[in-house]
Amino acid sequence: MKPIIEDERELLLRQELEIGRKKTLADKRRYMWGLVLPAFLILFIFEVFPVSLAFWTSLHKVTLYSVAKPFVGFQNYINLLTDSHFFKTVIPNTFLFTFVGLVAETCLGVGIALLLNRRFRGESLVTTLLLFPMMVAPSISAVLFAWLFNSQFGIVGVAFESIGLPRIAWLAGRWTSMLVIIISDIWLWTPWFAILILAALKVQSPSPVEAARIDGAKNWQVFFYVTLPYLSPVLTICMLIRTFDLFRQFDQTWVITTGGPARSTEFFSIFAYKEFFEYTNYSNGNAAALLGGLVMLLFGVIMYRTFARLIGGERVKN
Amino acid sequence: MGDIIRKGELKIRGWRKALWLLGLITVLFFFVFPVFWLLLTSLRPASEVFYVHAGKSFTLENFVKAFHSPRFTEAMINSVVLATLATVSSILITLQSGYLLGRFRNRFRNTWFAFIYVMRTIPYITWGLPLYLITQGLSIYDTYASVLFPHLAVHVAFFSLIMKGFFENITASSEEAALIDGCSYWGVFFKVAVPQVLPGIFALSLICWLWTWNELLFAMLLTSANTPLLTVTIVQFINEIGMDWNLMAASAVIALFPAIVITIFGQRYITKGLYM
Repeated sequence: MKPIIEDERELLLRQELEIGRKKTLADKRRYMWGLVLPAFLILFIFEVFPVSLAFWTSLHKVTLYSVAKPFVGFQNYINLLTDSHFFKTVIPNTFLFTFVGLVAETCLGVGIALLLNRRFRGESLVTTLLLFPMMVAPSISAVLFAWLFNSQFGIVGVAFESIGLPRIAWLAGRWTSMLVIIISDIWLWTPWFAILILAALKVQSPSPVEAARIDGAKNWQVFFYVTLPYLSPVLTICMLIRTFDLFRQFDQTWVITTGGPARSTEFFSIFAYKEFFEYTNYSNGNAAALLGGLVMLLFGVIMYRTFARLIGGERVKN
Repeated sequence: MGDIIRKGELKIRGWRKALWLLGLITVLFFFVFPVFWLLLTSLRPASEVFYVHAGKSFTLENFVKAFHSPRFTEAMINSVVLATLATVSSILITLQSGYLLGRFRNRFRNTWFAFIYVMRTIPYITWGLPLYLITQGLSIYDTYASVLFPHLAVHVAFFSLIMKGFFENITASSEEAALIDGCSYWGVFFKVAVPQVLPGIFALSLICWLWTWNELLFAMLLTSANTPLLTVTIVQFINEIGMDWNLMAASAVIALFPAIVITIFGQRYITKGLYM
């Protein structure tokens, strides 16, 4: 693990006293602003402003063909939350996918890291092969799995038949489609977990493990009481980052099912996109996208307050 | 006490070793097979694509066909240009913002961190949809600019944090020395700090380039017929050519090409860039 950098590494703060009058506090302030200004402008114009506009749109009735944009308050949100499709399919889908994906990727990632945590011939080849899915575009990984699970010609169907199982029309049912989407996401992201956890395992000090063994701990006890607590900072960060990304997942679903069959695999991103472009109901689309954004924002803030130090955003001590 | 684990040299024999090997092979099979299958499909002639496993002939015809499609080659060039533009600009921008996060410990820095973090939590679709209208209002819709800037916004929120790690891992003493010798703040940044993190910058450039190349949602939202991008074009292929999975596979393999090259030749650098 990286050592936590303490305040003695703080640069340019102590310097003011030593250098004297030449570099004043105002200079430093100007410097700090200069460092963040380009990034700030980009985030402000292309992220903060659009989100504000989305909020404005969600409070008005805006459609493609009408000039008038009457103020309707929270009516769009009420419509959305009383829309049984959104409430009974889209929201559960999103949470289910996030949860199942996160659990599966974390467990498999830890498992693979433990499996690889020893010296063997071909180690670097295995790492390279494992690294590869991370470089693949989500949309391309979706193409891979759409083809493997193709109802008529997919190799999975062929394999199923050859061992006497029935051929399944994977992408014709809600849960089987969901399964294919989740598998494609697992394929794409498990290696990321595995490689980061493996890196942490490789620098783990052996002495606590040895001490536990001498005290007679069994393998599973060593894992749950020594290794897992040691890994928890890495795991927390990885899982946090993945939660944001699983929740907003769009590419794979769009390529594999476009939300079908019969809109049963729509996640909130897909739903918002379709409302916006296919039904040109800008207000509804924005309201749905904002609701999703709000959920992640709240989740993110709670996580930030819990894990501030771990995440890297030390709060100011007063 | 023969079985005490020493780092990375657990001795296993017999059925446990067999089990371990089986596990390793299963893992590798799961991660390698889909790509292998795509590659094989892309090499099959159209007549054999529906029974890839039983086919016998190989052909490069699918790739030739893909390259002969003018829209496909145009999309490829656009994606290369866009990814390169995005990489150069976002590395410059995130270097600065990462330096602030990695080197300073004060209220300004913490506020900036919180701001970036909040930006990171907001799903792309939430700001992507209004950007569709905004870019049209600015009349930059369907140009490089319309999709470049949102990409930069994504990169700022991601890569600043990685850059922060790079700067935290090098000592600040030479920067302090340069300051005492009378070097300006910006001089210290460009001449002393940045050269020390060049390997990290290189790794991040590779990742950044691939990210932009791979991205689908913003490309779908903010570009159209004038600036086709590769991922969007491939996704449209699925709907248009429907059953021609051999062509589909060939274009997907072409889209994978940079990923293959970067994984093989940049592996050493990339593993460093992943620690965030």
